[in-house]
Amino acid sequence: MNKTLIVAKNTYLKGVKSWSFILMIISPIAFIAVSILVGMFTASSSDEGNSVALVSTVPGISQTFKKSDVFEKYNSLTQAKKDLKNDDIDGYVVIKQSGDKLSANYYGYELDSTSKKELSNKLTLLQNSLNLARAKLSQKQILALNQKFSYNEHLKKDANSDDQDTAQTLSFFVLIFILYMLALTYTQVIATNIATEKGTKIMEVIFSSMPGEDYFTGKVIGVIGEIITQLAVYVVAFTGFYLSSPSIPGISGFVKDNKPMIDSIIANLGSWGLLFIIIALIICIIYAAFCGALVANPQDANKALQPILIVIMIGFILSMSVINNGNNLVSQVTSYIPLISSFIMPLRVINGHASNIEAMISIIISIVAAVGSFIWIRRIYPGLILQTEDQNMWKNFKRGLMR
Amino acid sequence: MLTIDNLNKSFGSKQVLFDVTFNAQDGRIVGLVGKNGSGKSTIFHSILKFVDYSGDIHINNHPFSSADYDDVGYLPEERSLMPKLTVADQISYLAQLKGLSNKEAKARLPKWLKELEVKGSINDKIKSLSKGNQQKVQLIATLIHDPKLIILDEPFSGLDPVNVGVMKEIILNQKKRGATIIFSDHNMSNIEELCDDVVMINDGHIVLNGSVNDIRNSFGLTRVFVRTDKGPEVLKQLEGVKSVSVQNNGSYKLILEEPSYGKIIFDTLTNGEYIQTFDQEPPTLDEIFKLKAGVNHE
Repeated sequence: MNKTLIVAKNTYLKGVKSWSFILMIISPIAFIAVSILVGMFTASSSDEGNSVALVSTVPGISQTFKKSDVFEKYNSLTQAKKDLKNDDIDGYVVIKQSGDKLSANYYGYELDSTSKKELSNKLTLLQNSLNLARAKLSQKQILALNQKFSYNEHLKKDANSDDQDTAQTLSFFVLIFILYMLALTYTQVIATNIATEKGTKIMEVIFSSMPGEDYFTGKVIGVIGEIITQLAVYVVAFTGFYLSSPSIPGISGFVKDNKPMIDSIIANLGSWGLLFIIIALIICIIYAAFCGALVANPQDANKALQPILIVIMIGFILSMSVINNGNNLVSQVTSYIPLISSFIMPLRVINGHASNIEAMISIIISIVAAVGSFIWIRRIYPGLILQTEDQNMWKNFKRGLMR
Repeated sequence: MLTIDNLNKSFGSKQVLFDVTFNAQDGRIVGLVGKNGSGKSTIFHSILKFVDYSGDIHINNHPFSSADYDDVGYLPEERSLMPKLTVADQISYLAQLKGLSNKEAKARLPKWLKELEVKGSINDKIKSLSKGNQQKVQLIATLIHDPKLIILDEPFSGLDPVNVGVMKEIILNQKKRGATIIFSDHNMSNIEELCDDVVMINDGHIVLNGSVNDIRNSFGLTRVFVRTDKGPEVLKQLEGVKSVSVQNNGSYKLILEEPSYGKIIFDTLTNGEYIQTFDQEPPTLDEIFKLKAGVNHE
């Protein structure tokens, strides 16, 4: 196997087998799972509260309430009273027919509006049946009375509709959130990893086996592999969750109501935003490796990372301002600065403040910056990593360049 | 074969190596000796291309290239392994970087562990091994791929005499195999015992270069070790004796002004009678090192 790939494999396996990586992957899934369980519990609790006994001898009452989840036919008023006393039900409703008129009396805890509406609709339906029977109408008259209007929607597809923009903006912020989280996590992972290695002489053994430049490439590939693994786990988990969501109480309603929006967000993930975010992540990893190579102790890695973290924060904060005003000078300039542009340019494209050509130019600048940074840091990396003197970062940097 | 010609190295404005020139032949061991900070490690780092330099370094008549990495075994001055890895995983990883397959590395490992008498199994974590055993594991990582050029930076530091003996045996086996070996050590008896050639460096300058015997003999047979019933005061009065010291074993060490005084002193002390010890030797490498390290090359 190619030595660069051996290093990549070692870096990757060491990363994914660590407890910190497993916890990092599991914690958001566990958080969502707990939220779902709470949702399910809440849903089932609310289902239990909507239990009402139906006491009536009116013909057709059982049929009318047959499909109801709330109302259950009781044959005995005594049983209903007993169940209410024991808090097994929320109440009972006694329905009587006096002549052709139905009357209903409810006893118990206050019903929620949905249950009240269901009771009212079903009693109206039953009363209408009685009314029609009393009117003794012919079949033709009954059909005429049941005539309903027809309504059809003929919608025009609009690529720039508000819904579409909302979906795109939401997609972008999903990506921004992912970028922000991954960048913060993996800059620390690679910087600490490299700073830890730097303090050891094993790097001399490794650099006596392969060019330090190739070792750097292997490291970066290994960490990118960790990121891909984390994303793959989330994609599989999300796909499984999304496909099974219709059968999850407490979630099914939300997913059903927002399915078009969710589908649109998923479709939009493969847009400009994704490309910008991948490049930003690669730039972050390259410079985090550089920062890790500058310090002599692992505990100084976070200190060395500060400039990158500040740039990420600036990009994140600026992206918030671009939502309202994506055409000001700051937005225009920053949308061409590598790393920050990944937070700005995709939003400007979504909002119509930048064209695809401008996005293309910005992405080319970012790619050139990423490739240039990679080549430069790859070249000076061996010199930096072989400095083990406990001196400040600037001196390490100068000494590394002088090797 | 390793050839170094006019090697110069500076860090910024500070020059640390000055026209260093020597070579190491196949099947021979070269000892690199010098004070701390004299430039030994920088020479090693230059050979391995860890640092840029001016001059020429050739391995088998060509400059060091990517193809040579698999033919080099390097043991750095300070020991360093990955403490959380098992012995097998650590050796396998480093051996793979030297071109061996994982399978081949793991197949060779038990033999090496036995030869070096490592206490522990291949599944033990590095951190669970004693310092000496960790050092042996690192030597295995250096040699497991049968390198043609072996660079050992103070390989015996911190080891007890028994383990030093085991490691010396391994190094001599590598020499018999035909490997070119270059190593540094502060213990001159190790150098004298193992090395065919010695390069002495002081403040970045080579001050001595040649075979151990030639170098010692070039300083003349100016040391006499003698067992006699005559006291040190009497010995000091002998012609040509600069100084007298008592050795731990009870013998006297005389330092002569000229080797030619040896015969006169022998005749005087024996007077034609039996004498238990009379041994005329050149200075030891240790003495030569102290002599040269104290000399300002300028």
